[in-house]
Amino acid sequence: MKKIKAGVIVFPGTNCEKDTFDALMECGFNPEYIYANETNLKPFDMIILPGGFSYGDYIHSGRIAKFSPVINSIKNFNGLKIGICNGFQILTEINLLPGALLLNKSSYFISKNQSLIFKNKKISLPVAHREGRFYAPDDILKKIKENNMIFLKYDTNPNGSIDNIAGLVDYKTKTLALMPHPERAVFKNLNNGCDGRLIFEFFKELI
Amino acid sequence: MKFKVKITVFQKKDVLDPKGETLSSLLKRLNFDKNPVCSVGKYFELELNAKNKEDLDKKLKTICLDVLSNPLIEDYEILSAMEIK
Repeated sequence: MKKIKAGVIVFPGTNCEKDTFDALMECGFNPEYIYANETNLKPFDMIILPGGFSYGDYIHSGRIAKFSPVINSIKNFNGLKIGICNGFQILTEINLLPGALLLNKSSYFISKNQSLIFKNKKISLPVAHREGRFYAPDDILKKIKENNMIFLKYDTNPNGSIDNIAGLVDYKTKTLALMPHPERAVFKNLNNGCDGRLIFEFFKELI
Repeated sequence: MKFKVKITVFQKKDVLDPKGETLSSLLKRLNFDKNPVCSVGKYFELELNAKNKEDLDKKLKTICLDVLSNPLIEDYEILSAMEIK
């Protein structure tokens, strides 16, 4: 079977691209790096926005990345669009997903393995963020629930996210994002478990 | 014409502001006030060229709504827009 061609988007300040690339390879994808000025996404079945601090996250997380050529192309890209951590922040900034990611309730940067609920089962994935508190006003939250967009929830809420939301998916636009880092839970020797593989398998289901 | 513009961006009142709450706790602990109400926002200074005031206002609206703030979570305020040489 032909491998899924996955574009890993790299901005100045992205720092999880190598982990994401390696995890994609391990999970049977065919990854390739794409840089901020790229506009041709035709060769790809999916694109993935990895974690980090795109353009230093000055002004607000994901705000400057929003104006890059590659993001402009993503808006018209019909394949699967994935955001991890900073990628989630970028996808909300460009309104491909609803809501926004704000400073954690505690103000602390959280870095730990986090218990989550995925497909009615408990899983564990690393989280590492300071601006990961998902927020949406009541009317938008209502729509999120009506459209079954919440695919991943925190088991115990680490950051004050509304409704324990850790990940959203929009089946219509084929857009998915999560704050935890599945790419850090693919290789056994990292001691973060291997539940990240379940998330990468979920990406395949969506293509 | 060249203008110097001062802009603030604050989170909307109904959105939790952990930095503001931390500042409130600090001022309370330092005995400045029993219940200080604080919010922490962002301050921007821009020097921009525009054909006239109307052109400047048009530019500023886009800059404020698209670049400096996210209207879902933040409000902006243009404190001043003065012509400079």
